Amino acid sequence: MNQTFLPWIIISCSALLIMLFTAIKRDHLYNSMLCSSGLIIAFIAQVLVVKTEGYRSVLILVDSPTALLSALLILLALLVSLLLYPWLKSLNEPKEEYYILFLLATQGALIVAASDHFASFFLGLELLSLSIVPMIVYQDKKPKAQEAAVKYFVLSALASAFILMGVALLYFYTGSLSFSALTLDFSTLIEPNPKGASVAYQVALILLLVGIAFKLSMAPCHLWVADVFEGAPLPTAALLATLSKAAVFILLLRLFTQGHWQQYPTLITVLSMIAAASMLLGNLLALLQAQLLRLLAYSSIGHFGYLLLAVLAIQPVAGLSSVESLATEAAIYYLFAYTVTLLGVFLLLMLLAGQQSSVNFTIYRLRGLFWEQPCIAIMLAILFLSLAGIPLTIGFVGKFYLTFAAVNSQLWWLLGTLVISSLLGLFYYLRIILMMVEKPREVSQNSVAANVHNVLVLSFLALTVVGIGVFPGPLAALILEVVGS
Amino acid sequence: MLTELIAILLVGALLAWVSELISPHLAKWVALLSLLVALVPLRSLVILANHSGPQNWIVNESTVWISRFNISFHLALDGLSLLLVLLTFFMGFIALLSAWKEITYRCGFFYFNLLCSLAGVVGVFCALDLMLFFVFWEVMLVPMYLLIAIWGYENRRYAALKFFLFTQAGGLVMLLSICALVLLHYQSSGQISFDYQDLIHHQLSDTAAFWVMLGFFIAFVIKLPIVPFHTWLADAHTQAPTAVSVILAAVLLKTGGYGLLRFALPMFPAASIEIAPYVMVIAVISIIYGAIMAFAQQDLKRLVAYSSVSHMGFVLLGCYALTLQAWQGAILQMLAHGVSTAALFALVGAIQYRYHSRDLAALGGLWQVIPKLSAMLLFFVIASLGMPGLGNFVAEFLVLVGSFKTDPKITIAAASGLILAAIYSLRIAQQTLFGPLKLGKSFDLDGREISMMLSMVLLLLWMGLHPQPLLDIALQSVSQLPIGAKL
Repeated sequence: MNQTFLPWIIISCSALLIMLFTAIKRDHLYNSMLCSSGLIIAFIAQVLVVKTEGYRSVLILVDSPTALLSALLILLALLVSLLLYPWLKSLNEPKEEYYILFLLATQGALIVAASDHFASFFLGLELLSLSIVPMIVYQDKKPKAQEAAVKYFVLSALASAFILMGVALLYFYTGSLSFSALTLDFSTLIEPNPKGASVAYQVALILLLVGIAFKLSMAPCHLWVADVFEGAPLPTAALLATLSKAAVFILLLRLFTQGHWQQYPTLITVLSMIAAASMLLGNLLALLQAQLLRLLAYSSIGHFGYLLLAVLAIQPVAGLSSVESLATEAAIYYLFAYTVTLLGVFLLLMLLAGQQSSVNFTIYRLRGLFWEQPCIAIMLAILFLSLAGIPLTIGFVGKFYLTFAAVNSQLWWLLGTLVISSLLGLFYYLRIILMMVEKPREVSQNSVAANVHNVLVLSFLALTVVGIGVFPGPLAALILEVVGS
Repeated sequence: MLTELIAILLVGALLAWVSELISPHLAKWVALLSLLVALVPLRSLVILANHSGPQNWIVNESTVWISRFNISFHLALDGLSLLLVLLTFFMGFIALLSAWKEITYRCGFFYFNLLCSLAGVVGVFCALDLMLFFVFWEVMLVPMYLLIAIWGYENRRYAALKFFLFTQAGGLVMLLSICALVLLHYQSSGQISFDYQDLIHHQLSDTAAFWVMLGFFIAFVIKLPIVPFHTWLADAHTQAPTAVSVILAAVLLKTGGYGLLRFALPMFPAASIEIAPYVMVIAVISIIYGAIMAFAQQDLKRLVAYSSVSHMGFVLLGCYALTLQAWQGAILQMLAHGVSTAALFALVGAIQYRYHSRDLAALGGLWQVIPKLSAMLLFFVIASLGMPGLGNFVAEFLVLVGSFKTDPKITIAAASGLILAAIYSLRIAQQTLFGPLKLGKSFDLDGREISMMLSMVLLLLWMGLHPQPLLDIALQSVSQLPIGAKL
């Protein structure tokens, strides 16, 4: 044990403290502050340990990249937590429990991201998903929320079942649950039929992949995502879209590199097909979608398709050049860019929703926003341009990294899909921006109180998205240093 | 100095937006002022250009931007860039003046976008780092998109979206090409670099060069635009407000031609020579198709837009004829077409402002009520059809002379474009200016519009009567194309 686990301890302790305080006396404001301050301290502690040597045990591996990505996860949770108070205050539910679940979900995500063993991975994953289920229904008995929660719970259990089956098969062949045992040398196998073993091994990996695809809502396992995004309250949807998916993606990245998955052609084919299908299907489904949250859900399918491109670009068979670690850097940069941007969109939507408990966000609601709430509208427009990958935003830097890595690995037909689906994506992002610059209607539903709090959150987002978009150098250097070490 | 130039425009843009809070009329004065301030660095650039040697960049500025990929903020200017930057600023003034009374809705944001798009275009003409070039290339789209989408005519949303998607499609393909080029260069030299001067000397294998070149080519040709990628142009021009049509026609289309001359030809000489015959055929198809389509239009703006397709076909023909004269002609055609088409759009805009119609069938006999405007329209119509003594004639003639050496048959076919141009151009004059008066009285051009038009008249006359200084500057740029050495 060393300072590597400090953030984990802080977050778990905050959750426990809130639980204790709630048992003694319910006080919403104190608990909210406790939650946010816990996350702030955890974030600082996590940033401080990024460049230390890390920690490795049977269950957990915290190296520099993991530490950096954990910092990202804590940052995402922190940003959401800052806006929880006004929303929870307007609910007629008990409020403090949400913070406990929130912190536990964050802890689960951190465990998933740092796991080096299927046991810790599974525990972390269940902690994450099971905390999110009640957070989805946390909304004054709204039927849509209950439907979403049941859907998420059942499908998440199904995904877990797939993962467990895959893990069991892997254990059967390797005799170990550790990720480091994933590389299997078939020639030394005592098994009489090495070819059969190889097939069974790949089947196990594909089962595992199906489970992960469920969690990342990649095609064809994406059916739950739109309903859940639409039904869940905005903060939960934000957490699900960014924190939960980012954690699982980090795990996928680790499985891919540690297991040297690029040596299995079947697996690569399956992954490529998932990537292409996600890119096209996600963007096509979002194309004419008028519900903003469904649109975001579908676009997130597409974005994880892009991210998969970076994973597939790792250690290419025939690279144009031997730029080392480029694909990993690309995956991390894109993940950072996408999650921060998407979280920004959710935070802005939370500000726009204000005190209304049941929100129905169609894109028509944004009509004329630019002339009524120029600050919010400009931010939202920048965030959508970032999602579309237009230069001078962080999203473009991510997309550039991705393209660079994929060109290096010569994934031409996937790149073709990327170009087509980016154009499809641009269409609906531009449609939203167009809606915002339309002439306003008479009565506005959107109200945003311009308090210090909101201004702080907004300016932080603007600084991140545009600042890193214009000067991507420092973050690129940091990622290179972390990945290269 | 180039950085200052772009910075002045951007600061002016922000000030114009903010000034809207004080008074909506202040915005256009702020915009005008920032264009005037930009003349100071521009003037010193022109002075520098007169004193610099024939082989050098006039200005060359570079600072590190993204060290991870060795991307620098590298701006440089040679004769070709200088001409186009001057055109951009001139057209900035014209656009500003033609928007002066037309734009009344949210002026501040309009001038913000106008100046931002000008800054982006100047960046495109000066960037020598491929990544920087790409960033400017994409960034200038966003203000242009907003300009069309907010201030355009009835079908503006469709047009704006189409414009953005077409250009973005080309942009993404170019991004792939840039990445491939840089990685191939890295493979042989062991150094990541996006710099033009590093990459231009890199020798690619034939197949690689072909595919990489194709990516650039498609992006530039969509922008130019050439049949079959031209459909965005007619919609965007027709729906855009007058000032934006002026910028689109005069400046934005030229970025395509500039890209061909700056990047596609010099970086991939062998592959360019290989595809040149096919490209010339496409160019001729574009010339003739654009002219025929122009003839068939009822909407005046659409007609002028299609005539642009035809004229830009000459630019493409000139670029790929691969002779010095044709290149000079192509550059001069970009300038002359910029001025004459911008003037036509401004005049059509003026007619629309007065009569709220740009339908050829509804207009007629305008000479009887607004003679000054009609005289100007007649002049620019004649310029557009290639009357000797005006800039367009010199340009098209040079292109044809240059291409004749390369491929006589294609050149003869292209020359028919001049006759077709006469047909559709005279149709504009005949149907709007002469015949019985179909509409009521209106007011004629005011002092602002007359000074605007006269400046363009003089410029075209100068290009037509004494083009030698321009040709010298153009020659200095094109003679440096390494492709010349290969022929």
